[in-house]
Amino acid sequence: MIYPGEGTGYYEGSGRLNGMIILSLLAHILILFALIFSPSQSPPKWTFGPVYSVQLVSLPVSSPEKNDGAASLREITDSAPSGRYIMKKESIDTLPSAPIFSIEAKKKSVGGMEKALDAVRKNVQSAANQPVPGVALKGMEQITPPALGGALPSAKQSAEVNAQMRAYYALIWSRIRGLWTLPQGILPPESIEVVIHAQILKDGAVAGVDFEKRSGNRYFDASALRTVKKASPFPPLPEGFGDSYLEIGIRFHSSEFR
Amino acid sequence: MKNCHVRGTMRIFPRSVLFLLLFVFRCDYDAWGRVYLDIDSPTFKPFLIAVPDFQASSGNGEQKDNSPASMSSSLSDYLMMTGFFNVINRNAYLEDPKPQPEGANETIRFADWMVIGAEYLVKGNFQYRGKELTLECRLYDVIRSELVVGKKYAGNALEMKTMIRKFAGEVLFTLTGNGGIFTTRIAFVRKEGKTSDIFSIGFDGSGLLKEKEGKAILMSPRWSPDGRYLSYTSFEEGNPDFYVKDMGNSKVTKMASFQGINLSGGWSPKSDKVLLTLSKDGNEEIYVMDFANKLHQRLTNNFAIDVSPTWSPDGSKIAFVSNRSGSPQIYIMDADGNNVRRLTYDENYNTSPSWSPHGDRIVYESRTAGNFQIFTIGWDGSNLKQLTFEKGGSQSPSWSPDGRYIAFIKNNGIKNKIYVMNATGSNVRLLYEGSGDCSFTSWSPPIKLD
Repeated sequence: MIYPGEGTGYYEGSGRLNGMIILSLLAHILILFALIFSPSQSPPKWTFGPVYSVQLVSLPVSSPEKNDGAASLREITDSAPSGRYIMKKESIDTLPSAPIFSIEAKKKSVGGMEKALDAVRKNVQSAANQPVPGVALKGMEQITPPALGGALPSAKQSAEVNAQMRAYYALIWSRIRGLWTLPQGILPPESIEVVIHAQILKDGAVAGVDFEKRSGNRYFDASALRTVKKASPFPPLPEGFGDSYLEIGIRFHSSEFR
Repeated sequence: MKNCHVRGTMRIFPRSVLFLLLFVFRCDYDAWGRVYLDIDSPTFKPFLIAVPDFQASSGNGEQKDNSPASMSSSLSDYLMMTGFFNVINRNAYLEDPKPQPEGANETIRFADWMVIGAEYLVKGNFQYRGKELTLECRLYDVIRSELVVGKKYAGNALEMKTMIRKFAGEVLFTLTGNGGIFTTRIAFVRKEGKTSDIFSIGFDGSGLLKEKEGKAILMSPRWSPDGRYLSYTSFEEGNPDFYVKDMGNSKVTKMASFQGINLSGGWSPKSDKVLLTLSKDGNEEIYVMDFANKLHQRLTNNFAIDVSPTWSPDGSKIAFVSNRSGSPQIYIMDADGNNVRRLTYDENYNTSPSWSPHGDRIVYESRTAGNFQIFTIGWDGSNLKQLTFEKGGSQSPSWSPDGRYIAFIKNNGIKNKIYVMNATGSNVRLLYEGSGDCSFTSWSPPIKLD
């Protein structure tokens, strides 16, 4: 038995099905397109400079190499009950002079082992200056450097330099992100942010690393600063980049940035 | 971590679209000025630290047990037990492990330590003069190639471990902002046969002390926040009465001996008041007692059983357990007993609350799948987290004074032992397993040892 209502329903359902198929096809194409053109790493977020005032402050640190063995400062003297030994605690603000490492002296004592260690050090050093695999920086050699303060480059050159710089930013973003670690339990429950500025020289060396804005949590700030130092040196700047150095700011957020 | 993963997965599509749009619109970098990169959500990993053998300086005496390796090993053990450090295996060290020649200046090649992944380095040297030991320890930041903190200790050679422990505290304080954990103690009850004793033990599992020898059953030891008093309930006169021990002169005072239960509760933040459960008026109700004059005031007035009160660190609220809804659940009220509201709704048996020193969370035990397990919950009822999962069950949680650790009792199927874990549930380690059954943990504030 055929009911008019059922027949109507069938045709209506068929039309809806076709619509869904087309919609699904479009969605798949869009996703495929997005997947092809999306990089494996999350992209850096480029924004304009912050609106807050900038104050450069250095951490009060002392380097062993800089100390000249001045007299130690006695900080605390703990006294024990009578009849017991006294245990004294002193703060050492200075160190015995730490001379520069002498390769000759080491070579005499350990010979082949030292050579092997030097090879390890060279490998590590060269690896640090290699571009991170997976991020393409091809075609840099063919680009004429567009000096930012000099003659204006052509639109094509400018576009290529922009592409190179995007790849470069993605690369250093990924490098810093991968090296930022902290023990669980140090971060405060509320979200905090520290901003560090740095200059990347042409060879990838990093200079002028300092705080642009502190978070108020010295342990969080120290971890961010150490991460930038750990990540450096970066790969050399793209040849298309005309200036002598690249100035960047790095904002570290304690929680997920939205 | 799981949440991060889920969020990351859900963001794949929007990120792809965002990147596509960036390609389409082609922003010019040179028109922007300084470029800012946003880095979020650090990976949680302990600090990687290297602790090579300490160097011996010249001296005319040496303790056989205190070898250079044992000193560095002790320090490594202390750092590891905090859960904030991962000590790099010494086989990975590139530095020549042989002692430096006498009179040679200390040489540190930071690049060698960086190569093996060390973020921090501890160097130590020591000298014996007869029975006296002088120990110098320095913490270096390998990444920044600089000295972070250095300390020199001198004392009896037998106090070597105390010196090492103090320096471990310095390292922890310097890098995390709180290092007093090594001078704290955990009180607990150990039951053997028909009697029980109250003991205390250090954070590192050393220095077991009998605080109260019980001729009967002892229960619920609680440290006052200033560390001066230890309160407990004892059946030694037949009735469960409330006592307080002055830790300075070991004098014990009976504070409450009403008919029925006189059960010890938490101390006020200023250590001037103490919470009690008394059943003198018919059923178990919560009272607050002024420590100086023993005057007490009733806070709850309910037909149900109200027990296990604990103060919030700011003294404004009290968490307690009540079965007024039919099953034991955790409730919160204002310090004057008003404004009672129920905190827990999951599971049908929640008890032993302890308020975190930061004031944001409450740890408690909850019966789930037939066993008690440790949970934490925000004081507003948000963000419930289960910390323990083992079959034998875990009970009696107590916060460390810095809020980073929780002491608790775990049953291995045979008897109850004392464990310590980080407040996230990680880094679980056995603190004490002696004869008898352990129960009722209470963590002291930092106590001056000398």
